[in-house]
Amino acid sequence: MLDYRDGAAAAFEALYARHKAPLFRFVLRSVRERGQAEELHQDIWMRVIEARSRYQPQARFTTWLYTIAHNRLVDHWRRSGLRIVSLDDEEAQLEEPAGNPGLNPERQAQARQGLERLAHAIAALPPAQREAFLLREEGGLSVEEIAAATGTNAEAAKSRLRYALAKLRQAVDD
Amino acid sequence: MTENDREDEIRRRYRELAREEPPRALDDAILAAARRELETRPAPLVAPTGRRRWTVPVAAAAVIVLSAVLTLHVQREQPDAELGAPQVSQAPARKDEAGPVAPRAEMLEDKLAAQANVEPQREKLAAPNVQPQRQRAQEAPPAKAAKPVQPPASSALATAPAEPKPPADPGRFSPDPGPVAAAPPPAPASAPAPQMQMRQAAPALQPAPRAADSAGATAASPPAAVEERRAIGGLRDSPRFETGALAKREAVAEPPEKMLERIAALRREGRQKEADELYTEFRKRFPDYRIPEAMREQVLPR
Repeated sequence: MLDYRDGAAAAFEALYARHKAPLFRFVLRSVRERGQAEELHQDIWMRVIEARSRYQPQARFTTWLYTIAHNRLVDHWRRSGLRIVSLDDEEAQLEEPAGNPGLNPERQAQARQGLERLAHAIAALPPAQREAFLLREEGGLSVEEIAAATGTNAEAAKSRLRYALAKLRQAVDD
Repeated sequence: MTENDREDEIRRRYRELAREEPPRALDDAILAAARRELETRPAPLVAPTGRRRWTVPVAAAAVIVLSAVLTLHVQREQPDAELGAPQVSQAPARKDEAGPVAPRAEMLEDKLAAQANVEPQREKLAAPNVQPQRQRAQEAPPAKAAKPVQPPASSALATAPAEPKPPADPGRFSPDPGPVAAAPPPAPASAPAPQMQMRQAAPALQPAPRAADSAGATAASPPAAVEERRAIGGLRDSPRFETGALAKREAVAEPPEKMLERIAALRREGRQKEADELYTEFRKRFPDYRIPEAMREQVLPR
């Protein structure tokens, strides 16, 4: 990122190639539709590009990138009218507005397989727990970095991660 | 199977599941945007980091503050420098180097020499006023020891005297010297008198006690003569010919109305010649000033 800030276009291409897939999956599993995921994915990278001149390496680039992604997701949920009851509530779910379909057909097909059960379980996680799991699995962030990216403390991040794994473990075992 | 093993199993399965990638078109659009960003906003020559980010703003602020302070300092000193420049030193060479001051000093000498010829008349006029001046001198700040007569030759006009100047006495700088006059000036002292008068007239902060002391001195005492002339007023006392810094400032600052009042006061006292001279000075400084009708009769030469 520093090289890109200093004018090296190739540096950004390498950066993008390294992070585009994990970030896309993180976004995809946080929203309902692939179209929205692509739009958010592009929006996140545009913010990275715009911040080029003022970028300061205060943390890992990955942490910074997923912080942007987290903030962008929160904005998306609010703008979409999705009311987040409580990010930390284990039973909380993103309440869908009336008229929206449930799982899309793609996810319904995946649910018929063992891996699909995992995907379904991930989608069923509370937003905060799902986010913590995905940041860990897709972004490779540590507990402290998850806390920094989501604006919480390490204990809360650790708790969310633990609960997410427990639920996924239960779903896979069933 | 331990808990960690089960978590590892979850992660393994997830990695098998996680195969989605963004479409190629999306990749192209993002990369193109990144290149455009470089074209529109090239990278800075030096990327400041940490404290260096603030180096330029702090330096700019310091320069601005320093410039403002220096400007104010120069502005404050400039009036003093302008007022102080005309002071002529004791050395004759410096007198020549005084620049614009020299012509004024010469004019002053000429005028004083001319005035010396009419001293006897002024003595008669001033005689009745000796007593009031003595009273005023007594009311002045504590008397200081009279200074010995200074050698005339090389001391044309004294610079700021070595003694500390007494605080300004508003009465001494009043444009209207009032009815008080100094002691009778000595007629025989006409020769050294001009120089002494110049010396005495130069600093506007002549202490009144000196006049009081000299008033009681013999008629040949030059300081008394000088004081008398100053008390009488006239063009000599005009701030224009006084080299004191304060007088210069007052001269520059005296508005036309003030001058007209002085002229009218001189005419009321019957000092027509001084009033005429002051009126001439007034017209030089304010050639286009229209004298109010009410003042015309009081100030115009008769």
